Amino acid sequence: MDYTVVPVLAVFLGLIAVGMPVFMAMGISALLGNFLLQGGDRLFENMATGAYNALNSFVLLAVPLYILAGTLLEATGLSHRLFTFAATWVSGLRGGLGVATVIACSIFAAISGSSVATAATIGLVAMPALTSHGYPTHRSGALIAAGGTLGILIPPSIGLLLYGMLTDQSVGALFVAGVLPGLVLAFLMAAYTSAATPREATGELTTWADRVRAIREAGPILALPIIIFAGIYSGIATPTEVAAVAVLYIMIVGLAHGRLGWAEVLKAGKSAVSGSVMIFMLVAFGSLLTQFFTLTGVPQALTQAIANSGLGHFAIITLMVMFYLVLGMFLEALSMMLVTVPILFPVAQSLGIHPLAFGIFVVLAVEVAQITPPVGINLFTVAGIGRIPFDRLSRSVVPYVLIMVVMMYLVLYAQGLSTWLPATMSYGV
Amino acid sequence: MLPQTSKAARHGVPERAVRILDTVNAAAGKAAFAALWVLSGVVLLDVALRTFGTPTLWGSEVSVYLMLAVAFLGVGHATTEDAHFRVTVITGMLSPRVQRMLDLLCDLLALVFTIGFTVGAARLLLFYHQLGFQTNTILRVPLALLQALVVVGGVFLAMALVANILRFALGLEHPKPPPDLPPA
Repeated sequence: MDYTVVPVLAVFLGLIAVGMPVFMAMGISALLGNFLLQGGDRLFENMATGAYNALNSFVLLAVPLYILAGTLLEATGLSHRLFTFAATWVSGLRGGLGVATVIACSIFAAISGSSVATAATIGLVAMPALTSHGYPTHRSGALIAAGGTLGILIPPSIGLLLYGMLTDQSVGALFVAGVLPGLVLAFLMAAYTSAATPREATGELTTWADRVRAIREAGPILALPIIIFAGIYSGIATPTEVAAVAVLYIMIVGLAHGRLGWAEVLKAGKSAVSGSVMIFMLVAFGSLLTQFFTLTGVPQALTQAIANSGLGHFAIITLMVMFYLVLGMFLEALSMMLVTVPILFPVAQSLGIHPLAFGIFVVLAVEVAQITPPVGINLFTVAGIGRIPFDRLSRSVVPYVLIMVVMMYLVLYAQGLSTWLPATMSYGV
Repeated sequence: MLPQTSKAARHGVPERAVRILDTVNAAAGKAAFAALWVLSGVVLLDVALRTFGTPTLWGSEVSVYLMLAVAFLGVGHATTEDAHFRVTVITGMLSPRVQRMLDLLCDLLALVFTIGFTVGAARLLLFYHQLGFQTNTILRVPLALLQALVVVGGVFLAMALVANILRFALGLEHPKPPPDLPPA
């Protein structure tokens, strides 16, 4: 391994620490690394080529489209119907509104590929309802922040898209692989929420008429996850094409309900452009850093070191879990993914972990990063929505972090959870 | 004797420069916005035509070019709006004055990098243009045209960084964007 990686990593972390935008920190570190490795000849030309090539990808096309679908759905304000639908079905249970929040997050997650959008959209609707029914605010916030993370596990998922691009895996198969782990995680979250909720914190009992009305009102939105999943699973359309259909569908539903005007379309489009550009720059400049790591032989050296370490399977997986937990405290989720996947993917392969299962593992790790302080972005989002003190919210989210860590082990020890459904697809994996 | 000039008047030209830089990047952001909608339309058209058994041969290729346009046209505007991921946990513990100084240092360093990157991209553009390179796809698009997007993106990014630096020098407030949510 070439040890130029040490100063380059130090510069990268130093730049991040002083508040440099992450994509720029990646670019400058890669520049330094390539200079130390290869000298200054055609340095910037090579970087320009690398950044362009990283973005010149059909897989990435789905990113702006799923973001646009999510921002459009947010703009329609129809998310309250999802929550009402979920609440009418489970509000009679102990902690029913909490369970309804998890269900609403899961449904929104099956439309949007974004964790923050899920937490923010459902949070705006669920937080007042939970609070008015006696749920402690900090616990409600923790539930919404954690439920939001389902956004990047349940397909479509921007995290899985990037993983597919980095490791050359079928994005469709990755999306399908995320379904069962997503549902299991949602179930575990709902079960914990129900068990941990005081008995008096229950919602109103609803009638079958209420439930039927809720289905009718939320029907058009409820149909969208089915369209997305069916399109990808059957292979009728690529994830990118399904994303474009989702955009059109939400536009039609929004217009039909009179919830989408020019102002909403503008706002959603503007938000989608900012979000997409941010990810594109991370991909473009992250690829330069990845290229540098590959040249220094870091992934191979790490794989070799682990192979020679004499550590068992469990110990290595635990090391990876710990690595992601610590890194997630300091790095933003997608940046973390772009930096670590090229290094750890060969390690996972050497351990015999299926690429799809490892993808789900990484996305779970990224999810944990979204809700662990100090940079857990979902925590900030929910703290802002509910005006919850950050430290109380951070403490309340710990049980959900533990549930996710358990899921990380589960997807690696029961890999069928991720690989079974994709194996049944007509175009296989 | 020269007339006395007010602080506002002294700042007139640089302030106008900041406004112009912001306006150009806002216009580029609108172009990125338009490209995003056209991109959605092209993908949808391709899906529709494929359903009827007559897929376009150019749809995928054009979609990728439009995505590149979104990325590089919008990068300056995203920087003006401070929409890029930054870790502010450590700097948040420092005094506002030190935070501003660090922001300035970051902007200066980023500007130097961006200028180098843009010059590198421009050299590539000239190289592709001189040799007449084209994509090996059905549309045979000149590579110089696509590389121009990278150059333009670099220029917009540099303009946004210069505007930030000028804002710091003039003590102007950073334009606060609406609280758009990050996508992850």
